[in-house]
Amino acid sequence: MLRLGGGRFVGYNLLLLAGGAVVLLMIVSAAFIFSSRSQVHATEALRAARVDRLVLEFISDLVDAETAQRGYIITSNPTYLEPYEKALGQFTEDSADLRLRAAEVDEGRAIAPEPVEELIKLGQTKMDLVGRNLAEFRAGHLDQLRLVLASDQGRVLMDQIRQKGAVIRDIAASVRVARAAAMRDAAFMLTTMITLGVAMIVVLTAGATMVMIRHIKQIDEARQELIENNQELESRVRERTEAVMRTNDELQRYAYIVSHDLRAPLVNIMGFTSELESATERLTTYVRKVDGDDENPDRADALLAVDEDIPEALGFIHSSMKRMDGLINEILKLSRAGRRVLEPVPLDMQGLVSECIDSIRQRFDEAGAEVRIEGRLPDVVSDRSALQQIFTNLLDNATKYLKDGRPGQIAVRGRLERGSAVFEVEDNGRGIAEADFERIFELFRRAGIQDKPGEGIGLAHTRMLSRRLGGDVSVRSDGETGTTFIVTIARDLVLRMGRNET
Amino acid sequence: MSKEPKPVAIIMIEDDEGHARLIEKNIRRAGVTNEIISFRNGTSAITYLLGADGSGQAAVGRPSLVLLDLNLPDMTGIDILARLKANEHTRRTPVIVLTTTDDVREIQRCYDLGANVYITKPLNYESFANAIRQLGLFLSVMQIPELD
Repeated sequence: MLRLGGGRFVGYNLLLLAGGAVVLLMIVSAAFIFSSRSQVHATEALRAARVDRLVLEFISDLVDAETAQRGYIITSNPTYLEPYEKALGQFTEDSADLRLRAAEVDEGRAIAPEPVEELIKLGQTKMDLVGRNLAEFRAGHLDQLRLVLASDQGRVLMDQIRQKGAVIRDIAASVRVARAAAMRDAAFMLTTMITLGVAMIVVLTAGATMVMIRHIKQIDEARQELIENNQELESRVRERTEAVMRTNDELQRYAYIVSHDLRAPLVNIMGFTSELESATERLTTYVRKVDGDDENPDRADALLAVDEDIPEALGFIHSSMKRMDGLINEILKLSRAGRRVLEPVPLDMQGLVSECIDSIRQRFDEAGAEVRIEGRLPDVVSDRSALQQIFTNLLDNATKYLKDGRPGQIAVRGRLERGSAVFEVEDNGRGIAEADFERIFELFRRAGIQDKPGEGIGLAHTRMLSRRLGGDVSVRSDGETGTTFIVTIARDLVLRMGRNET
Repeated sequence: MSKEPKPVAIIMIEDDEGHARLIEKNIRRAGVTNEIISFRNGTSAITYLLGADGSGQAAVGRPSLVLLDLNLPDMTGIDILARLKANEHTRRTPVIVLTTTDDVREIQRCYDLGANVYITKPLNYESFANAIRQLGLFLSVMQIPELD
């Protein structure tokens, strides 16, 4: 039997499938979360790096401007003014950029606007100083210029600027490092989660595979069991059939021997009865002829004996013997039919039953009965003549025992059941009482009102033939509204006889 | 140049005393006067027919006709028939099978083994008596080849 129900198997698998789906979802959402988080970290790190670069550029603008200023002052070559102008423009641009970008880092939380503003302000002061120096130079106020330069004001400013810049750069660097670390953590988490997920999926798949393998194994076992059961059942059917066939064969032999051995004494009884008859005739003639005293009571007695007693006794002996002779002949006939070698051939049952119906068509017409084959009868491999006998007997019976005043309806049906073919002959006749269900199949036994001719042979014959064909016949009736005879025979007699024949 | 045939003995192998008596009576009624030797079982009949040594030498110079019932207590008549027909001294001895069986296969078997006539004992006594009487007539005109 199937120990693990299909439902439970489906349940297990659904559970595993759901588990797999959850794990996959977790992996996907983790990947999504961690990647978006990484993106944020990367953006922030980039921003921090940009601020860092901007601070450097900002300082480099100042350095460029100062260098250009020095060059010009030393060489008076106006080409040195070009880099100054450029650095000046760049400075303005970079200052604005720095202000903007610094505010963006960690959404403005990391770098306060004050130090940036201070840096820019210092830068502006420095730039202004460079500008003023240039103006003094152009105006020829060299003393004034020398004074300013000697005051070391520019270098001090520049140191302050570098200091402020370094502070901002440090903050930016720490942000960048923190973000990079966060990114590395996120990546590690993601890798870990994916690894875990893959491991879980592997476990789940293994689980599902195991459940499946177990299920398949169980199905296999169940199938094996089923096959074994089937084989056992088949062999039981075959054994039973063989037993029935053997019993049947024994009965046939028994019937043959009995009828044979009964015949021998019967020949004697008949023979000597005839001898007795002829002897009596001679005696009668003599007794009649003898003249004698009519008053003699002995003579009257003798006359009575030869005229009445002896002929009466002989008459009974004769009629009894005739009856016995008839019975023995029937047994012999049955036994002979039972000993006939069966010739199994493929048979079209539809055709065979139709022929049987046609052969006794006249009886149906006389009885006013209607007979029909319901559906298609299954074909078999069996003995033609035995089947003809069976169906003719059953159909004949059906017409014989119809209920007066009820138009006869006779139906023949057939179906296959395992290795057997089952045929039913149903009528709406007078029915058979349940107490007679077995009796009717016995030889010389009849049931119900004895208003029809018959020796009580037909059903016994039918039973014997059905058994020889690897089956049996049974009856179903409510005792009033009709009778159904069920004939089971081997679907393939060659197959069924198999071992029997060799 | 035919010499006077020796009288033929009728060997009746029949276990049923009544049958034997009825057969004998009806043969006599047909006017057959030949000697009738009765046996109740197969063994004694075989011993007589083929001799104690079973060689069949005993049958030489002893023309006979066998009435054989198939249903014997110690063996079947078919065995006797087969042995008679297999022995060179007795194989020409006519054998009339007389039995209750009218089984076609059995009848065929008897003829195959060399039975000369097969008669079923009918249950109707008239026909039985008639058959035996006819057989008697048949016996009265029958020539048994004599063995040297």
